Amino acid sequence: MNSSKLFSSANWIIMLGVVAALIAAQWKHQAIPIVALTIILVFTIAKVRLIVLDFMSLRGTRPNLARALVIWPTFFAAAGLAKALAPAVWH
Amino acid sequence: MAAIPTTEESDEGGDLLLWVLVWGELAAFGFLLLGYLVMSILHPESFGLAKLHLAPRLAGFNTIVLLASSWQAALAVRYQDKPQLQRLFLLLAAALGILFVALKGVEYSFEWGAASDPNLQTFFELYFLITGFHLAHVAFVALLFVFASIRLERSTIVILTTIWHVIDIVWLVMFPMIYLT
Repeated sequence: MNSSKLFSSANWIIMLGVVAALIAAQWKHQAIPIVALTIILVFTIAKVRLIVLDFMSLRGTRPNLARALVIWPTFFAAAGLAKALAPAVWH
Repeated sequence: MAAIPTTEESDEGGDLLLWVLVWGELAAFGFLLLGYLVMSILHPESFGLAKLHLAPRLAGFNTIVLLASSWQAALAVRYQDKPQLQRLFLLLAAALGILFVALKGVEYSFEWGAASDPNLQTFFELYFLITGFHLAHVAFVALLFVFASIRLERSTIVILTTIWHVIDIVWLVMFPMIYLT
């Protein structure tokens, strides 16, 4: 396990991105904008990728395991986004 | 007589335990979230109504608390050669985890009334099952962080921190699915 890369600038950008999107999404009591939701989901996947590759030390060592670990949140993020976008597309 | 495992063999054993734990968590939460997704597609009206009773602002603040906690846990792994700092970061991670549990308790108290409505029961059954299961993990691992801060054993801290990141990731996926979509 290698935690040093977790403190790289990429990690800070991801943390800031999630927090900023959360604050922007809840600025007013209204439905969350799709853009803010997309930002949260994209940053979630980026954070997962960073943890899997750097913290769990899977960068270049076990590519299939790393891919499987990243696919898990990607699948649910894509499903959640598709569900949020579906009404706008259908109506 | 059984041979004493070498350091490498012990590390492999630790790795295997870690992967079993990580995949066990991801599989369990995966099935629960899949169930939630299917039910939300089958009952869009009642799920939409039920979500009006949730507290997304509080849950959003709790997301920041959990992110800060996993950051402290990662710092504890980073400062393994400085026991005092490592202990401090572990206790901070545990404290933020306990704050998450407390805030979730406050959130539940707002939502409890709406859960008794028969029209919203399907949503709230799944909601309490998924978030309650997650909450139990947060409370349990936060407690383990306190014990880990007493012994400061490297392999234990690494396993706990990794599980903490998995719990954090599960919440980051669960939060937009339940509260925001």
